Amino acid sequence: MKTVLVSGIRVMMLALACVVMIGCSSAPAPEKHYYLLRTPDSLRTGDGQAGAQVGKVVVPAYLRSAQLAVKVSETEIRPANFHLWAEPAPEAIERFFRLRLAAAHADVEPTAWPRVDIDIVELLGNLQGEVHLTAMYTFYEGAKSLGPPRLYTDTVRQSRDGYAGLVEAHNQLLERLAVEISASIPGS
Amino acid sequence: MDELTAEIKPIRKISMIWLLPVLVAIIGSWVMFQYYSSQGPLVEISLTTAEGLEAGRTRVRALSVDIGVVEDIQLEENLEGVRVTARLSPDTQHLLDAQTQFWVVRPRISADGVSGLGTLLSGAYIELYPGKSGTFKRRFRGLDQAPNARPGVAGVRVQLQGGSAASLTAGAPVLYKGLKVGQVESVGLSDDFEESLVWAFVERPFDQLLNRSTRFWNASGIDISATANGVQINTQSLASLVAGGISFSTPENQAGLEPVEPGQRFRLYGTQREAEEQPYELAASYVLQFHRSIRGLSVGAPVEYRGIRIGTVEAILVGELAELTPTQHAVPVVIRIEPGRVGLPDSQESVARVRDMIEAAVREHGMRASLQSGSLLTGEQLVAVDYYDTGEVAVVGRYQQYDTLPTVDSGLERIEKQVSELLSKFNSLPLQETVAEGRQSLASLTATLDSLNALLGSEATGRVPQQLVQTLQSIEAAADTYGAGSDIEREVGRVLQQLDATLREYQALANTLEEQPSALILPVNRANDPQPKANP
Repeated sequence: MKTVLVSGIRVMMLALACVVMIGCSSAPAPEKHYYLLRTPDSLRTGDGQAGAQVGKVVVPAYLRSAQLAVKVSETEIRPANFHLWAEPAPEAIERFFRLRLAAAHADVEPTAWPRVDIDIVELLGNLQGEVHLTAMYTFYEGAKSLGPPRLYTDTVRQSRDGYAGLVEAHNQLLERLAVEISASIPGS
Repeated sequence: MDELTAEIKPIRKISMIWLLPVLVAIIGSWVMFQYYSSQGPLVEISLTTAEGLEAGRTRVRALSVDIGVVEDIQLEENLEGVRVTARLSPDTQHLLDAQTQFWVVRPRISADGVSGLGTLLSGAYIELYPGKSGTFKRRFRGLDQAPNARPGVAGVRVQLQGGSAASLTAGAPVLYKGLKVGQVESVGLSDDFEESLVWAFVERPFDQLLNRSTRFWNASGIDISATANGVQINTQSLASLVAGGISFSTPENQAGLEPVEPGQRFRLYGTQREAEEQPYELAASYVLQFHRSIRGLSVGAPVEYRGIRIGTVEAILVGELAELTPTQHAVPVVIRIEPGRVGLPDSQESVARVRDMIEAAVREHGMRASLQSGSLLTGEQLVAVDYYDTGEVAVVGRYQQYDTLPTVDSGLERIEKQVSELLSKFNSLPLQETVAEGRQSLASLTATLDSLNALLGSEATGRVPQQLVQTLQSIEAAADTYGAGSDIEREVGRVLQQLDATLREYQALANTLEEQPSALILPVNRANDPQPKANP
């Protein structure tokens, strides 16, 4: 009985040693990178126009994942394993618009501002560095729509390689959309 | 030698004396020819009487110009008249054809006036009115008096058929708005002797007033009628009062129809009221089944929509009363809805359109018919059509060959019925039990109020408001603690974010294990992420 127990312990130790050797011999995993969507400092001060309350912001499913995604063909996207959002992208996008559209309008009560619902249909870059945004937005006063939904499409090129350039392009496109919405606010 | 002999031949010689009779014969023939060729045409005129006529003296005139003289007057062989032979002037042959008319002009006094006074001194004469047909004729049937319409006068001749032609005589005026525009030419009976038949002539340009919707009525005498509209007295000119007359009218909204053809047959109504009640030929007929007395409703009574006449009561089916049963006891009344009264053409298309409109109005808006008082003075009733919200579904039904309109009581009858129903319900209420229960409830309520007063007056109850205020303050403080913007709300938000981040990590782990289950003990070999390029 004792002989069997000793031989079992030896087998387990040998297996553990093998595992340790395999683990030590494998290459280290690439470093993970985390990215933020930020409102540029120059935009936080506002431009004196009327503001808008941000209502519902809808984003596509690949923006609700922690992984950044890149379009590898017309019908295929690939989530990145080592390039991740530092915070949930939907919350970051909603906060982006809230800050951008409500900045520095002390002369009008925010409760009197119209509400804008934003539907991000597509916000995606490809391997060639082109990042495309398609979005629709609608203004409301209470439950009453102030007009039909408006369509916005835009494309920019990454200023530099890699996912950092992709996120910068995301920022740039969201900023252009915010400018467009701000200029379209009824009564502005 | 032959002896010469003379041959003697007698010579015949006609005496010159024989030229004289030949010359006389030639001259006589020429005189005879001249005599007969200078004679005018000889005409024979058949008359019913030769009163006032005298051979060799009575003249024949055309437009007061002497053109001949009566030469002979003979009795007809059947003694039914006289045959007058008159010699006319030589240049009058073109006046004699099939349309030429002769009549005797005598002194005449009638309702139209006095004529022929000149013949009191000069005696009667025969008037000739020339024809224009061109076919020479020398035998004629003369008229007893001047024709009502001279041949060749423009206009239209119509026949009027009606129940009675009382007071109507030939020559009676045809009136339009009181003015004479024609005359009655003859008064007789129809082919079946059931109705009177009157031929009337309307002169141009007044014949343009006639069309298919024109209505004629006997304007003789005075028409006094008491209807739902009150008492009405209608009369025409003095001549029509004495000698009778015919009036006509055309509905204003039907004035643009085609003029009538000569010989067009019209209905001759007894009075203006009858004619105006039937101004339109086509109508949509419906049966109304009234479950109440129709006293005062008569045939010809108006059918109105909010005071506007749209039709007429056509008949009351009295004969159907014999078929009444205990469950079917309505009195059927036939009404006509006439499209022409609302400005539509008097045509079948308008009738079909009105039927569609009424059916839709009944089905979708509850249109119903009711009896209403038309005149408090005479008690006449009329039929009113309007929309009623009775809570019941209204439909167009069927009664024999007629469609039916639903009926409803209105006015006093409706109020009476509602009051009656209300009183019936009131009578059926258990008033005594209700009053007793009410007294008990009042006693109980009094006791409850006494108890409440005692409770409110106690010291413990006086502390309740203060405790209530304290409770509300506690609730408000709790709401501040847990409400929007509170520390707890922010803490809950942070917890939810951490939970979301944890779930994301777990999802990534789950994805890794799904792709490579050995990742728990072995390192994961993942390909590098594809790198987007700024300048491909």
